[in-house]
Amino acid sequence: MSRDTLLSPALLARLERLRLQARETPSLRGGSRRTRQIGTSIEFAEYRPYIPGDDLRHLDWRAYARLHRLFLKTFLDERDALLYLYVDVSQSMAFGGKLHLAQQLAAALGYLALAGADRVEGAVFAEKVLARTPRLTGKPSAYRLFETLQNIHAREFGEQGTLSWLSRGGVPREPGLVVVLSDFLFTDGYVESLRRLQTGRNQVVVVQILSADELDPAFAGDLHLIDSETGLGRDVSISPHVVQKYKLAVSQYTAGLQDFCRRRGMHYVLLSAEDSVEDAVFRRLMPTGVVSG
Amino acid sequence: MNFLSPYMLFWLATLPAIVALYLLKRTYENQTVPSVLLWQKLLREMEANTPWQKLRRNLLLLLQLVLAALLALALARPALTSFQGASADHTIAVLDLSPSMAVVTGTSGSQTALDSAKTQISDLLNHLSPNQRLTLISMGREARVLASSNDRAELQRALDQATQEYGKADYESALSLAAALSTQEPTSDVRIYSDGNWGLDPKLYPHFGRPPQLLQPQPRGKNASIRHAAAVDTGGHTALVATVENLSDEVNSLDVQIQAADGTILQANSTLLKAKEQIALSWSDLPSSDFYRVMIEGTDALAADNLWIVLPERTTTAKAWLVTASNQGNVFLEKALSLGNRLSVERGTDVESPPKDAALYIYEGVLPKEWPTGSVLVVNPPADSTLLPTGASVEAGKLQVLKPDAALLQNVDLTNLHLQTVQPLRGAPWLEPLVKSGDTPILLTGEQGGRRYAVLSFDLHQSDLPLLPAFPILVKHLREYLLPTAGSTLGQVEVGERMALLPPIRENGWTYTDPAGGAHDITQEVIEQGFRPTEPGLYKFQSKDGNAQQLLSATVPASESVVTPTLVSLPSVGRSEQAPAAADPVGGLEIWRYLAALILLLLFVEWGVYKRGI
Repeated sequence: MSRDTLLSPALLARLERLRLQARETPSLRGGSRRTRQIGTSIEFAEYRPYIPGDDLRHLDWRAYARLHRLFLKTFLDERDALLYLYVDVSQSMAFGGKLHLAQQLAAALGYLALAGADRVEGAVFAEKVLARTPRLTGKPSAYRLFETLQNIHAREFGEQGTLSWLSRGGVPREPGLVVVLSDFLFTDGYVESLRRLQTGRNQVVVVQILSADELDPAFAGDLHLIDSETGLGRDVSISPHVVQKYKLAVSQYTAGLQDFCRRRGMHYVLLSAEDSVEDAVFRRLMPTGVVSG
Repeated sequence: MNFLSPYMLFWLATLPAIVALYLLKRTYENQTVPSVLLWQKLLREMEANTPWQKLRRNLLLLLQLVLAALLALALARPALTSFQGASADHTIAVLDLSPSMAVVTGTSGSQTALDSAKTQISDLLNHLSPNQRLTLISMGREARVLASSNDRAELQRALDQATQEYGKADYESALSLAAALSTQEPTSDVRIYSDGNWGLDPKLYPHFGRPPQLLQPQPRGKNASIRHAAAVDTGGHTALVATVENLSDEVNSLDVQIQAADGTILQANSTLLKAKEQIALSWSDLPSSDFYRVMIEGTDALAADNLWIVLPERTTTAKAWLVTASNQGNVFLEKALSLGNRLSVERGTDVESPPKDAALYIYEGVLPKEWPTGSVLVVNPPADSTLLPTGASVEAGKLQVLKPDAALLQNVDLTNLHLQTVQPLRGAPWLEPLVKSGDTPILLTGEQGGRRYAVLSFDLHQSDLPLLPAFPILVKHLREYLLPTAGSTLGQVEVGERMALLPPIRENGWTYTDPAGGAHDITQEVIEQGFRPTEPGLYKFQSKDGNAQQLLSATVPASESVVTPTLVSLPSVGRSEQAPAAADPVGGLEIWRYLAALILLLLFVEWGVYKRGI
């Protein structure tokens, strides 16, 4: 699989013009991202009197020549951002192209972050984190990210998707922008895990991807519905009335997640697996302010 | 509620079939979904909101079972009452009018089996659809089609006109008639309203197109009957014997009463009869009466056989006066006349001075100048008489019986009669010839001036008639013809039997009173065809002036006293399976239409359940 199948070159070109709107994070590395801290960028911040011990290189000798007082010239600091891409690869993501959209979206976000001189760390999870890329920097390393993303497959039957590993020390030590790509159909819920993530000073973006069948089931008759992950069965006689009730339940569930995110200051995006990655980025993510042009 | 096509209930067998289909089908189709999380949530919610959710799964099944059951019920054509309407296009109703149908049925009142049969037919008529036809056949004295139509009014009129008869019924003809109609139209239905006591040989039953339906009455109470009764009056003292029979299957206590003509009770006996027992009761020294009523008192299933009018036989002897030309008498004639001790024959010598008290005057070879007061038998009339002028003797010719059915010639075989000469009568046109020898009448009878005459116009000594076996019979007939008023009784007959009216009743102006008290004229038709009593009891015949009266006792045929229905299986040419089949919908009493409407409604409900899932 070449990287073109994930993202078209035209899309890559468009993505280069975008930037992640990450909140200021206490990064120790320099980058292209201006911060309010005093640092080493070329952007002037202010003058301040010299205090012994300050770096003599930052003294404004011209001012000393005129005023015979020592002033220190300070500049704003430029740091990079850290983007975590968590992709759910549990069995449930294998349906209706959910995983493919997640891969594409992760690639797109990763690429635009790398293009913006930010660091990117990708991870796939099901019951726990299954694989992790090293922290990537620089546009050329996007290739590695793409390669990793292309090679992920949905897990086998029997493995449940969950976020509980976040509560078990899975929260990254270095805070950053965390994008979770999943269907969020976790039997053990998401509230506690997302809260943990936020407590780790991470900026959280929840991307819920649901397939068309989940949003509007096209089944009919008496069905024995089998859970793809747990194998749990449920007998349902599908009738228009039941379908209507189901749709109501789906919208209640997504609305519950959205409400949770809104109250906690997280970003929330609901995507249908049928959406194209362009739509997902430009129509859904951009309005939320996670990326900007 | 009953079912007109009960065999259609076999469709109820579809119920287990539906259940079986459900059991087979109920395996849910496997469908793997990413997650059942939301479905689980939904199911929990639905179960919480609708507690009957578990039932719902089977609601379609239940509805289908109810539908199938209702369909089967509707096919079985339930009717709301026990009334069974006519199902065939053509219904042949045979209505028994015989005396046994006068038996009392039901729990109260005096409704007879015939009444209830008529009510049933009337019901049948009222529920006849316009394209159905009904033929009403009477099973009475004669089998007759009373009406055959699809017009209710006409059929009802014919039904109303069918009245109880008390004579012997012609069962065989009625059955044959119905069978013939039924075989002509194999789809027709035959219903026989009768008790089945027909006394026919089962081998002789006609074959019907389809097995007929026999609707038998259920008699109330026990029946006892007077089988026979007779009385002899020997000069003021009457001895009476009566046979009574208990026809029921239980012991029956009978009160037998004897009444005189004026209604006074002469005797009353109480007897206990075992089941089917028949006993003879006898009484003697009863006071003399014109007739006696022997009756079984109390309630009884069939009233018609509880009365027997006994006309006592009187043993008084009449006197006959015989005068012959030779004054030697006629031994043959005298012997023959005095047979049975009914007549004492006295020889006379002077033809012109007959005794006044004789009932019959016999002249052989001689004739007086004028007729005496009684009946007259003339044998070999003399040539010189003015009363009966005769011509010269002629040779006997070929014997010719002119009226073979005359009462006088019954059982009289004259084929071997040989005569030498015959005296041809001149004049006396009131004499009617019965037998001729050649062209000359040899036996003539007639009435004139209120008395009867018989003439044998040949010499008995010149013939072999006295040697023939027919002679005493002929003489007895002559005696009965000439002395019909030996007593004032006509005798006893069964209802419906034809009885020839003999002189003097044949005269003008006689009337009769039937047992119910209605007075009727004796018409010419009755005289010609004979009198037939129509109900049991006493018939009184009266002359115009009221001086002469004759009595006739009519009784119900003994075989009709059996009122317990007999199980009869009538043969049919058709297969018995097709019997009540091929039934078209009839009658407003059926409720399958309502069931059909209900089924339609349930179908909508089922559709809704299927579509909406409750």
